[in-house]
Amino acid sequence: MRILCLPYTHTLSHISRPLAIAAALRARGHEIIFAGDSPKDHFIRSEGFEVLPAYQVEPDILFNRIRQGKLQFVSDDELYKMIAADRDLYRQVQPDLVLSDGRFSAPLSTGIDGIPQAAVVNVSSTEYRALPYIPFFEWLPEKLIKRDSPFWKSLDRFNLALEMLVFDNAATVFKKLSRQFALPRTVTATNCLAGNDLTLLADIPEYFPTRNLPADYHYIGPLTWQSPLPPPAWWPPKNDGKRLIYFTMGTTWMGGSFTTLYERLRQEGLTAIIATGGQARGLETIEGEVYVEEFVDGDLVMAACDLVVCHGGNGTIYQALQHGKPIVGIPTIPDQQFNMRRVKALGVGESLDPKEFAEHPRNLFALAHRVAEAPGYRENAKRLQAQLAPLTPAQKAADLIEARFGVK
Amino acid sequence: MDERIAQLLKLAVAAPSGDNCQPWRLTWADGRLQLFNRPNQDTSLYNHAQRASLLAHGALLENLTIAAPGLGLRAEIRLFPDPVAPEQVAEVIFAEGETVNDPLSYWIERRCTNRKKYVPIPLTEFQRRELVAAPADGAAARVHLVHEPDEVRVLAALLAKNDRLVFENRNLHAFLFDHLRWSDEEARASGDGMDIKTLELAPPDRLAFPLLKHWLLVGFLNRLGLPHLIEHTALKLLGSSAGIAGVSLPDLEPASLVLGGRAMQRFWLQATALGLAVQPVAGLALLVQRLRSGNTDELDEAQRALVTEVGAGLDRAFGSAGRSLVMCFRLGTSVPPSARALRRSVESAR
Repeated sequence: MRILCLPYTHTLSHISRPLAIAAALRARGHEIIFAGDSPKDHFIRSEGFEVLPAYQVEPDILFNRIRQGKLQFVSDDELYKMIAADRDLYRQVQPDLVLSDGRFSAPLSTGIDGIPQAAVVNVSSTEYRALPYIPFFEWLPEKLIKRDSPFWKSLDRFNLALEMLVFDNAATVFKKLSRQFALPRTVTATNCLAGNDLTLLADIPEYFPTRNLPADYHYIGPLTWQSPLPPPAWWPPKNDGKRLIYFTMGTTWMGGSFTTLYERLRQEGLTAIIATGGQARGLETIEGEVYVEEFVDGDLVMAACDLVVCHGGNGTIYQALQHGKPIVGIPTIPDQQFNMRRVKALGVGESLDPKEFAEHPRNLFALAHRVAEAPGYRENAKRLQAQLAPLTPAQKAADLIEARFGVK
Repeated sequence: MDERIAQLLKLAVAAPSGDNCQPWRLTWADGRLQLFNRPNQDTSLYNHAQRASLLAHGALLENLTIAAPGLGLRAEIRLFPDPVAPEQVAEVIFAEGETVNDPLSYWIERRCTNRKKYVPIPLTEFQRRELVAAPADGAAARVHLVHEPDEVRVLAALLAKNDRLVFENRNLHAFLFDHLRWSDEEARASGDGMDIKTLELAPPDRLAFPLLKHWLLVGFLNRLGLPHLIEHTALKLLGSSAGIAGVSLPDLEPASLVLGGRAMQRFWLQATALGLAVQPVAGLALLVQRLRSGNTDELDEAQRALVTEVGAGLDRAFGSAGRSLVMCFRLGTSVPPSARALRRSVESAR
């Protein structure tokens, strides 16, 4: 098959998942072509894949809207432009299949042109999630309504229906276009990241449960970033018996706080490795105290550290769990808040409000010490590590794609 | 006849023509195909000096040229081979050739007119580049493509006046209604003209439209402002376009028109291949050329003034001054049309 991969290439999480699947499919003889338009495209090229140019919404614009709680996360004109760009690619590549990750125009554009489409997505971005994305009723005291009671489950269902209704009616362009083009599947703001023909859920059921999952949705397990980077020149870190904490803020960190974090670390008696994701400049490595890198091999660092501090990005959480490490998250967008609620519920970490961190940076370290010291978090993380270890998500995705679309 | 020739002719006559009047006659003898014009097929004001028909012949020849290599044939075309028989448009001599598929051949039978309202998805740079380059290298025809929304609106306002003229001019009105087919059976039986469904009328308009074939009623309704209502509806459709294109020629000699028709067909096929919906809106461009050739018959003073004004506007908007604009298209993204115009069989075109 000739497969066109359409990830949102401004974020590594959306690159890494199709990249892993693409590598598995390429090994089986399929032809894979990527499209994107970001400085991070070089990660794809370095794996030997071609990357064609494709219009994408700039990350500053997109993530600012999401952080500001704007339900209309994409303007009509931006979506039209993305659809037009997708369709140009289809003419150039003539794909048998489009595999998307984070490209919310893909179900519409492939639907218009009648091209089969599969997507990699997290359960949180589907209409089949069993847990609310924005919990409206969390404020109700647990003494009043037990969280495992049937009434609470009904409230959850009501919550889910309500939040999807609100979201879909705030960004109506998806439904409008589905109607105008008489698409077989109605694309909505809620399901716009899913596939028309096959949806690969990069999750495990315990972490992100679903309900009423249709036959074309499959859990494949997490696909985490496999860094091609060599170990840093200073590796291994010298922590002299101090706790080693890995701070990784992905590529969507709110600017300005790295310096605060850096200054505090030096006073806390910890050894830290900071991966800035290219979002901070001028911070220097101080041997035995703070090691600063733009990007590092996450697996290498996580295997060595005691605790992971992150935003609560899905990829980082799974990577930490694959190494059996507890997590402290500072979530800044609803996706990350959703993830961190699961981290807490599974007893593998704790969450800190970004405002609290900005006002009282010391609280982060108090929390980090607590999570690193209490054995419960580590034990729960180890339990999930055992669940994740036997999974082969990229191979499973390739199997599902071949089973659904055939081997041409 | 070689089976391949029969197949080729079926693709050739999938060409467009004014109101699908199919003004051609084909003969096959001694390994040569003769293409004749049938001047009485298109009697509309748009077809001054058989210009619209010659464009249609060009489209037919382009289909033939594109499809022939896919069938292992090479087509050599001689235009107007007999200087004293202007109705003989072309002679085509076939020879065995290498079998090579032209990617555009796939689109010959998929090309169609789409009169639906389009979704405002803009044309991409890639689409614009491909469309402008659609006429073959060295072709004298030129594509003028306008895609900026403000400029599209200007052109839409100009071209919408054609629909108004159809209901103000008896000849244009009669030609349209002569070529409308009111049922599937009628469309199939005639194999020409336009199925009423291809007009994509809204349900209430579909009910009222048959009444408008009566010129006396139209004359009465015109006093109540019918043409302006129709112009307004056309403006909404044209305004939904992502782009409007014009095809211009250096002159209006018969051979130039045939070559222009070939370029026009390549443009339309390319647009279809790019996933675009296309509606030709050629009427006013052809009326402008008719007037500029000094033929003012059957247009009253107000209509002449309107056509003159539109002609100047089109030249300004397309930057086509000094050339002869012979065809316009609106382009956009849309669901497929509700129906497609049918063709008479190749046998009946002989």
